[in-house]
Amino acid sequence: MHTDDHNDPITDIGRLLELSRYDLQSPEVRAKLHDLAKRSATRFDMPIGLVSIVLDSAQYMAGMYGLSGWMAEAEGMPVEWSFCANAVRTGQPYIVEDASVDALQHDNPVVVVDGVRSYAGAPLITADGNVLGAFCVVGVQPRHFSTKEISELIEMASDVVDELGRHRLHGEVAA
Amino acid sequence: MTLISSRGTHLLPPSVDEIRDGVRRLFPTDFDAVWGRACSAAALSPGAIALDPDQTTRLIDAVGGLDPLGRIMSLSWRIRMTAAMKLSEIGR
Repeated sequence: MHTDDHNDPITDIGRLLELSRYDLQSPEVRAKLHDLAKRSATRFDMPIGLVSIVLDSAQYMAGMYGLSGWMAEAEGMPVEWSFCANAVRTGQPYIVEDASVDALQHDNPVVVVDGVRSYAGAPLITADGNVLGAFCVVGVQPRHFSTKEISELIEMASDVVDELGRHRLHGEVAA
Repeated sequence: MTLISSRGTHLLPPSVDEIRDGVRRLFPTDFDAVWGRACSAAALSPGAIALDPDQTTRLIDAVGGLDPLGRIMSLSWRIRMTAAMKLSEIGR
């Protein structure tokens, strides 16, 4: 039997159980998620686009475009360094226009050492209300994100959830 | 929810204690049996207190074979382990 004694949405067993019902690692699914990540980076003229799945203790970059170095090789990062985890915790878009002066992120190693400066992520919210992760764009320069752009990112995140839904495991394949 | 920064700057691979605690959280009622099964699959003693990287990898893989939720936890630990190794390789 699975139970959860924690209040943090990141470690919520119900959310993790829903995550376990998706095919997140097959080459076929990942190729589609990589394409969606590229689409977002191109649309917002950002160097990096990600489909980030926030796991129990790490962020898994199921779809990625423009990423290199240790994060690409590990296909993720520890959850305590994850910007996307904040979208999971709040269920809201998470925007950082200049991470170097952001109260929460200025001392994050991916900011201080890896050079992340700007971030916009929209939560990947399922029909059951669980937040699987975030669809995000990342930049190495400060950047303003307009309300229109954030709305568009939210719509694109909905497309990502639809794509994931077409690849549920245990025979739960959507039409 | 208030977002609070609580991060360190150095990343270590998952320890056997972290993995054991994770399995205990997933399987609180039958932890001993499940932990024993995972350790057996990884050819480890259930009482192991420190693991080398190969042993840690085997244990993470074994937890991944327990059930779908174990697979998610296993992926999470594998990313942390790979990230720690890659960061160590570049001197971080």
